[in-house]
Amino acid sequence: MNLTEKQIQHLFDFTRQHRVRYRDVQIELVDHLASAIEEKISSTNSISFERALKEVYKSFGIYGFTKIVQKKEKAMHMYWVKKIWTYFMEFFHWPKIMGTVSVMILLMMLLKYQLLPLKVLEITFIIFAFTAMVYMMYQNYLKDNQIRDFLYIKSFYAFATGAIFAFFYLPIYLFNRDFTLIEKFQHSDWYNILLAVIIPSIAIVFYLIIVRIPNELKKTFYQEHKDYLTLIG
Amino acid sequence: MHSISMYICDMNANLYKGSLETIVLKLLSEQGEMYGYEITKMVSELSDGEIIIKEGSLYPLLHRMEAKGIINSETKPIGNRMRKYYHLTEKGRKETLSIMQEMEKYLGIMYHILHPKTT
Repeated sequence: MNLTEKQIQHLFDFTRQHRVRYRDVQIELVDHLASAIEEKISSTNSISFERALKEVYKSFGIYGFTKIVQKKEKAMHMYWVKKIWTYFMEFFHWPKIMGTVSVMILLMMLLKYQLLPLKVLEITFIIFAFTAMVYMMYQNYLKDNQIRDFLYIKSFYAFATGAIFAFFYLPIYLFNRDFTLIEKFQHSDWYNILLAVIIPSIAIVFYLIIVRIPNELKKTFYQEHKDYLTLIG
Repeated sequence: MHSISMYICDMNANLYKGSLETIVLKLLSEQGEMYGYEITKMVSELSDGEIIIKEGSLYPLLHRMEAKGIINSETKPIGNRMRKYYHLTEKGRKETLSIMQEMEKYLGIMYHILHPKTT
């Protein structure tokens, strides 16, 4: 026997009441609950839907859904770290490595022969990073209501905002002349090489976080969940 | 390290510790795609009820495997609800092969230790 739409909705309410606030996690748990309940009702003549739900929920243990949600949050963070790292390393493999190394060499030459003042680079970087931060916060907090409650989406924007914040502070140490370590070798080629490697690397990460992955999310996530998003209206 | 919550008699619980990922990989390699409840049912049936995987173990494992990139998921409409199916990635297929070889080797060694040849 199949559960009715009303019963399915009851299961969604049940997961929400038991602290599952992410829709994608709710979808998976509701399907599990529904499958188990349907089997219980089919095999036991007189059991009610509510009683079957109670018994199925017991099999989730004393923590219920809580640990599942916590571990999923942790797993999603690891997922995005791995994804960014995989995409980042593409820029250091053939053929993209040609472009990456060319940009680094160009930047190093501009710095070495003082064709690009350090102050201009610093200010440009700060403006760009600040704009990226504001844009990411907009994406995180004001995005489409329907998808905001999906852990898959929410975890990406939380990770991305954190990454941009972290990189935002890097120039303070790289460009700050009062930072003793930099002062000692700021006029040497090593400093120029350091900047020439770090700045484009950060730019690649920003590109992945702000452009590539959000575009991918639009394609794959919306495509996969279009039936559900149509269902919930 | 996930805490064991496979519901097994205490006497042999340690024997199955750490094998959950292997079991899931094997099932996915044979079945193509499966959903969570289906995995728990199949394991119970194949083991004649000896191994019952608790949801508190299965879903964190599936999510961890997905984060590692050895399985992928796809959500599809089934009647009046959505269902998340898991399948192996290319990386997962290679890892399954490697794990199965290791497991065969391990079982072979254990057999010889437990059944030494007497001369």
